[in-house]
Formats: sequence, C-alpha cells, structure tokens
Amino acid sequence: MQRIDGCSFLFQSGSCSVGRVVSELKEMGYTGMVTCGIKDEKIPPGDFKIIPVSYIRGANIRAIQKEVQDPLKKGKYCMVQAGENGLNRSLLTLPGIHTLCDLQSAPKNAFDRFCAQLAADRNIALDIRVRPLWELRGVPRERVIRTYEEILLLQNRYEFPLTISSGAQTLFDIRTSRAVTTLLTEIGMDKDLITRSFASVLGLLENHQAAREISV
Amino acid sequence: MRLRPSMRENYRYILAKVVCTELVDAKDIYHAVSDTFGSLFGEIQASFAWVAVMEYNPPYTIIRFRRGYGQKVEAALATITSVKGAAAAVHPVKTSGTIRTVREEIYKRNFSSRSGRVKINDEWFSAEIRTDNRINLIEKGINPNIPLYITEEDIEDLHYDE
Repeated sequence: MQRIDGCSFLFQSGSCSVGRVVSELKEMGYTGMVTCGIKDEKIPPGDFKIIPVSYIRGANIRAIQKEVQDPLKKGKYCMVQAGENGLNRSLLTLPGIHTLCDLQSAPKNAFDRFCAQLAADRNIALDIRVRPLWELRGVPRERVIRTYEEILLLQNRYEFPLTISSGAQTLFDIRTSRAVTTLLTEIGMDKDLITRSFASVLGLLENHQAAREISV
Repeated sequence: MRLRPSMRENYRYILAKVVCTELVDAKDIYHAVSDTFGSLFGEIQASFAWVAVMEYNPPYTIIRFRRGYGQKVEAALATITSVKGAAAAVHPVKTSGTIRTVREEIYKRNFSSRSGRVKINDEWFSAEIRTDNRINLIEKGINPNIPLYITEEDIEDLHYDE
C-alpha cells in the first residue's frame, strides 16, 4: 500500500536535509514524498519514492502558463496554487497541471461544481493540505474544515482525484500517516478515500505522461 | 463518588513520541493535550475523555484516556504544535488496553543521544548526535546555508564532547 506525502519543502524552503526527511517519513509510515527544492540527480537511491515537483504560485494565468509549458519542466509533476474562481477554471483547462493546491487559502467560492466537473474530466487532483488543521486555531481552522467539507461533497458527486500533503517545512510539521488518517477521519473524510488519496500521486503521473510512439 | 469495580469505565493507554526543542515535563504535555483537545472538540468532549498523562520518559509519553475516545485523543495529539511555548510535535505510536504492553514498546524503541561537534562544508557546528543516525544542529549562531536537521550521510566529520 502506497502512502505518499503530497508536498513537503526541503532545505532551503525548509530546514531539513533530504536524508533526514526521508528517514523521518519512513519512520512515520510513508513510502514516498513529493518535494520541492530537489534536483533529479540529488535523489538518493532506495525504496523510498521521491517525486520532485514544480510548485507554481501566482495569480497571473499568463505567467503560470509560461511556467507550466517550460520545456525543461515538461513531464515533471506540477502543482499550481489555486486562486479565485475564474483563474481556477482556466488552470483546470491548461495541459501539464497535475494538482491544484492551497484551496484553503483561496477566496470563497473559488472551487465550484463547474471546476469539479473540469477536474474530474481532465483527471486533475485537488490537494488536501493537513498542516492548517494543526497550525490554525479557532475561526480560521473552522473555515478550513468547512472548505474541505465542501471539497469532499463535490468529490463525492464528481469523483475527481485528491492528494494529501503535509506541506512540512520543519521536523515539527511532519505527522505520522496514522495521525493524518485519524485527523481527516474526524473532519469527515472516508477511510477508503484517504487510502486512495495517499496513493493517487503515482496514478496522476502515469495518466499525464506524454503520448509515446510504439513500434509494432 | 465510589463505584463498584464492575460499574467502572475502562481505560486505554496510548504511547506517543514527543519531539520538542526544549526540556518539558509530564505536566506541560498534559496542558498541551488538554488545550488542543478542548480547542478541537470542545470542553464537554474534553471532560468526557478523561485524558491524563501517566508518565514521561523522554521522548516517549504514556497517555491514559476513557475507552471509546481513542480516535479523538489521537486527533488532538496530532494538532499539538507547541509544548510550554516551544515548537513540538506528538506522534501517537501504539494504543493498548494495559499500561504494561505500552511500557514494553518503549524498551523496544529506546535510543540515546550525545552532544558533539560536526563538520559540514569545512565548518564545525555544535550538535546533538543520536544513535539512530540522525543529527540535530544546535541553532545558536548557525550558518543559514546549512539545514538544521540532518543525517550522518550529510556530514564530513564528527567529534563527541568529553
């Protein structure tokens, strides 16, 4: 059973070296991670799957389009930060995007049923970031839980894929896969869906691969 | 009020690993758990769960709670971000019905650490060197170009303090 952390930040965005994050995540029950700030040649060999990601932030569709279609980044796992509703609809029609993330910090109604339909048709995942669930307290946390509840409602209807990420920058942001499962179950996510979401990154990468010529 | 033993509720015990930047005690951990439980599930649920910290042998702690509240206690532990004002994380490891099996798990998992100095990029840094191949650099006056949490593969040389 694959358990992949959907996004973590290594040194210099965070404070941990690659080896240390791998060692900690292995102990916490993960089998792989998607990570920012690592070059392909620096990925340590081993059974722990490390997927480098290009993490694109910004509210300008042209800039995002330029980044996504950069030939150097083609085929690489690509996450884009969500914005307001119009931007999200445009992002969901762009080729080369695997995951839409940070919906918890997007404006209200940023992700509606039209976006959900687009995400399901184009097999683009939505990222459930668990870090705000322990980082925030009070009303801001309630808002995040409500956003996730809405996403889960749409997911139940349109069945677009989900990914689960910690967004960890330091050692203290990492939680065991068991704790993440418990926490997400408490906010209303189904256990089967959690298991599928932990493993969905590999499926996304396979489905978005460019067409290959096969000789007969 | 005293109840007959057959009328008493059963407890369960959870073993959790505490990762913290500072020295803390069982009371500090109890305050952190109680605070996060109250904030996540409300005070009524917190009063029903009967959470108590039984012991704390760094880095492991044993937390007792009422049977049926395991999932809620684990979720509350996951949301701890600070203990006594210092950055911290509490990772649930094992849940059991007896404190004895939880204690046995601690003996299996124990490791120790020593203070020392490590060499990275031709510079020496003070560090906590653990027997499980992990090294935590001590933050005071640290070079911003070096990660704080590393493994033995990341360093060039090490010396233990006397």
